[in-house]
Amino acid sequence: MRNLLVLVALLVIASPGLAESPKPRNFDWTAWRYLPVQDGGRHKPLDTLAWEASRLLANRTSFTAPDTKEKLNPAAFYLAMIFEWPGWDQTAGGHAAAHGGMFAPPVEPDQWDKAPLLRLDYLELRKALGVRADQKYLSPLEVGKAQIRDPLTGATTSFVNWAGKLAAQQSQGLTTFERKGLELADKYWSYQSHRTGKRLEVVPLAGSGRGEWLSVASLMKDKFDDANDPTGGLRKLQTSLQEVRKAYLDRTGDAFQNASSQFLFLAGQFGPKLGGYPSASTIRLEVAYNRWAPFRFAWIFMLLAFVGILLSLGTGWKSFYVASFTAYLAGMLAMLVGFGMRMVISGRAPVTNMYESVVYVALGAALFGLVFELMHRKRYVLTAATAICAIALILADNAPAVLDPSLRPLQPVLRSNFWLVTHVLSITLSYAAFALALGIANIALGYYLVRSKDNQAISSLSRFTYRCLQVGVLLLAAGTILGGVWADYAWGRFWGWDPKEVWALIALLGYLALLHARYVGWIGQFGLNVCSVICFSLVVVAWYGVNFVLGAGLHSYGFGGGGQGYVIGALGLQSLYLGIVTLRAAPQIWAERSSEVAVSQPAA
Amino acid sequence: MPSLADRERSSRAEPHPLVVVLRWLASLRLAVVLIVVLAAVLAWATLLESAHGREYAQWHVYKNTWFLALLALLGVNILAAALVRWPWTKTRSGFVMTHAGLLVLLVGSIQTFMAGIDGQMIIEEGQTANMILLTERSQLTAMWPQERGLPPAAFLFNGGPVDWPDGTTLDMGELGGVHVKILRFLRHARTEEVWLEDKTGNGGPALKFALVGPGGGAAEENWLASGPFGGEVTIGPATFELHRTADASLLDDFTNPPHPKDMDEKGVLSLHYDGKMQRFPVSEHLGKEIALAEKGPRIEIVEYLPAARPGEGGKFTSQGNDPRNPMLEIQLHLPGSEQPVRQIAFARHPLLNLDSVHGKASPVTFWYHHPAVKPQAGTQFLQTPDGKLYARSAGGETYESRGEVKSGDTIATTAGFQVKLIDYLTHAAQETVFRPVTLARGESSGPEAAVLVEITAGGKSQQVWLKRNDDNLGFRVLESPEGSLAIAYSYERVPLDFSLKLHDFQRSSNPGGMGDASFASSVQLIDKAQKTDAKRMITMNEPLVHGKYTFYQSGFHELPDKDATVLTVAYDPGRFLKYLGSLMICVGVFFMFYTKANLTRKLWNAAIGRWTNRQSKISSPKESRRRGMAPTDRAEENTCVHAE
Repeated sequence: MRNLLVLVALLVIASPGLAESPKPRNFDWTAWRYLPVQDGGRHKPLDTLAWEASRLLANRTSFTAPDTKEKLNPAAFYLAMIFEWPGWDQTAGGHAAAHGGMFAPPVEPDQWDKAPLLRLDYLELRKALGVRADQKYLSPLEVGKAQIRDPLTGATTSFVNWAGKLAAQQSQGLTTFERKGLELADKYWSYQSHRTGKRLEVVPLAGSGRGEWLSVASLMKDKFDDANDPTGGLRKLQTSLQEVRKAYLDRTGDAFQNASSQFLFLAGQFGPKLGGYPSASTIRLEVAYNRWAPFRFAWIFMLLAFVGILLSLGTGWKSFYVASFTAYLAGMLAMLVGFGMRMVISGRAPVTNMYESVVYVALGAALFGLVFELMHRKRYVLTAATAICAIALILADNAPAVLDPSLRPLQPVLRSNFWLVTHVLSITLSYAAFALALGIANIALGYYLVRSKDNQAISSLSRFTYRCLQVGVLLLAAGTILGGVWADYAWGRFWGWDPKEVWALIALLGYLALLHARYVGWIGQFGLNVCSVICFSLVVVAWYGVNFVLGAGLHSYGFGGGGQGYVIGALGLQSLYLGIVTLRAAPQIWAERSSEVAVSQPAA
Repeated sequence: MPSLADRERSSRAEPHPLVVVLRWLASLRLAVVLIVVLAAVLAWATLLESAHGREYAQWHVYKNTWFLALLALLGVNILAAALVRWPWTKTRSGFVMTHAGLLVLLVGSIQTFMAGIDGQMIIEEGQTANMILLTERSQLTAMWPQERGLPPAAFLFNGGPVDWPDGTTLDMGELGGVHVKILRFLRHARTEEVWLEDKTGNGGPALKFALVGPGGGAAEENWLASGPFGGEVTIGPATFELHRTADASLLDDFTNPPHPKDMDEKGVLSLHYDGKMQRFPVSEHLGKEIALAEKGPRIEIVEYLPAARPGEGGKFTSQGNDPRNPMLEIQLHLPGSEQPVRQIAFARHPLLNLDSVHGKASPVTFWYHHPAVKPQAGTQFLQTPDGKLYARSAGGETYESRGEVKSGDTIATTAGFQVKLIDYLTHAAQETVFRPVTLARGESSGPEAAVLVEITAGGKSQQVWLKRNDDNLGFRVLESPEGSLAIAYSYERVPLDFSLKLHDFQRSSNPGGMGDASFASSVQLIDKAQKTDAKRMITMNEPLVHGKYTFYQSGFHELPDKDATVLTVAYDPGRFLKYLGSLMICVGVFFMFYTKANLTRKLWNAAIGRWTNRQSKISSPKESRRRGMAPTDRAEENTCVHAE
């Protein structure tokens, strides 16, 4: 009780604004988004840091202020969280000492600590933590205080301590439950370090050989003198930051604007003198990339194109086709722009993680779709291509937990290598061709499903399936071989039976078996379409399964987790469709085949 | 007599059996079956790898004979398929090139498999190395002394990815007068030092005990062994000591030490001589001589040091007068010897008294008791000359005797803890035992392998455990009737005719020290034959090529004061053929798929057609379904026509 009184008193003295009825935070945060920061081994604008933090913590892009119910964008949310941290006003040894502990909240929890910010999707963990089964978000305070009942031992301990122990022994295999628990704890720890300004590093640390930067936490709390700040720049920056905070807490818009501009100006002036500093143009480009999200535009266009082509097929109106085609081209353009921006920002080819490969497959499918459409003007191809692109891009844009879109530094072995880029590009392009084949085959199977007599359409579709498979096989063969060339170049061996290599080979063998079986005549048009759908599951394993499920081998830099449920669900749906189609079409196919055999018998 | 019909059938077109076999080998059906089987096998192998690790999958599948046979069969199928289509027409060029490319690739792979080298070199900064370690292959080497002039006998031995079940042995045969038989193999072995009964009766005592807490929780077992003069083990705050004495009278001293109340501030010195104990208060006898018996040894307590600290030349000095480490300097005058013997006696650490440090039994045993030295937490054991074991535990101001103890006894010790005496050996000898280690799922590396081998040389058989590539346990010298024989278990080594010296290993990190951005090794390449002595850099993507070898930067070890670089060394004789084959496959597939299709013309027509032929936007392919694909498609798809 006394503690609380002291806190209230402190808060009243430090920030009169908070004690009264909450005032809105209607500031212009735009300039702050361009502040260059260092995080995760990379220089980036604060905008990106805030986006990534909000994605990690809450998996959302907009926040509601607990007091005023305003909507805040990630940058505003991020800075509000820092500026409002009560810890800045407390002298060392006060409340911080009273709570102690590495992971305990060092200060009295405020409204942000009590706000439901940390997302928890794993149902069993909710159960073990004793929260409602439908409670998706936990507040940091709740997580900090939570007790966990370990399903293995049955013992009840503090969740944070439990996770801390797990983190220490992370190298040994963890169960799904433990992994999910650690994920939540990571969110909690990240929240603490973001909140307290430790992750917001704003200017280079002079003379740091490892290129370290100074965080807002240091800038707010540390004492600078002539010894550690010979030019006085840091002290100016410190004063300026405190002015910004004061204006923020007072909610005086003009003062905040002026103080902010001064702080940002000082940081931009002073930063480059201290060490490596990103150029303003790269920062502007990255903010623009975040702002415009070209891949989001791409899926919207692709979805429009898909709807357009369906309308065109349904009505036969040419204008729908033209409109759809235009949207398709716009979608492709958006993807190209997106790739271009990512390449400029990161300085490398954009094919080094799962997110980029999914988006790249969309681009590849769009490209092949365009070529085939121009060659044959069949509309089916466009239907399949728009569907595949839209699915891939929507997935990429909406599953950041599985397909992490953030740009990260590369492992040493992946840097600056021509063969790596060509190898990954051609393999991924082959996936695109196979994905397009999957789309076309599914449309063809649709004809069988409705027992269509439109043999012209079926044979035309089958021809496109076959074409796509040919393109895919050539690219996959070349890509797998290029992978060997790269492995030879980087590791000194052409082929090492690494699971990723082996699964690329398995996918290739699957499609080769399909092509050869088609050649022998073991399978007809129907079989070709069915098999190209089945074979795509090999691609799924090679592409997703090895990294996310199998988790073995040298390609571990691409490892991740999550999404198994969705992938298995998609495979299940596809199998169901395949099964129904086969049941519907089998009698007819069987009859045709036996009559063919009967016809061809005398000739043999 | 064959019937007419039979004869007619055979004369009509019964092909030569070889042709039948060739046709079967060349058949597309076999190809499809083989491809599917291969894919299934590979998928299974990756599951094996995920469950049991890379080594397991390599051993059971990828480098196993049956898998190589499967690949060979596929090779034969490809070769036969190409041969039966002779003579090759121009339209088949794509087909021929692809399949020939596959064969070339296979031949190149065989070359690599047979003669390639893929090894490791680990060099510490400042050191020079000229040996490649082939970490996937190992050998047992037997070496006679140089004067016998025999070359080392190398037995190539690969135990496999898992421990051998009991009873599995492998006779490696005889080489250079040495017969080697593997009796056991542990893929991952840990060693444990245990004490066993010493049959010779020379070894000191050893005991195994467990410390059991007040709650009776599970406890770790510990060995406490004594050298000639004792030994100790510390567990947390408690110390466990094992003393050994030749004087029966020491037992009195041990069970009934003088009580602190009965001592003054300089303590009491107990002297044991000739089976009798005599106690002397130090303050009364400091600087005086004590005769232990008539014509027996005489003792002089030269100096009392309340806080002894070792100084130069073995001299001790006292750091103040606080009795932190009371010690006595003693001169021992033995009868018939002019020169006195120096002795020291510590109250706190009787095991450090000079007679035990020097390992020389003194006829007089000293035990110095000091009131400031409180009994230490834990239990002390004493072995008397008759081999019995006595124990005492700290209790308040002094020790409380626990009397004689035997295996299985439980001894109360400090703070509610108990010592369970599991085993007591009056004479013990230490031995290293090898135990298997089971890796947890997902763990990829564990301790090194170990073998138990039976070495027979000169008619004498000996069994010995060896740990692979281990500095201490990987190498043993055995005595045989024909001289000493050194035996080693190590990775296969390939000597280079040049050497590399590591100047410096460099790491650079991402901004902010987040993860490594690059590694680089700065080496000196020294090749006397080619008169090369130059500085070179090896970085992540810039290997060093010298002679037939290529050196890649693959990793590093952090040592306490310097780094060691890990280089991958490769020699790949099949590289050219593999690259050639790869190129042929790519070009061949391209031709096979796209020559007739004539991509550019199609695209062009499509672009033109868009303007000239607006009415027929959706062209109609001819409807002619017969056995799968329309004939037009068929011609387009395949420039070569398989004979079916």
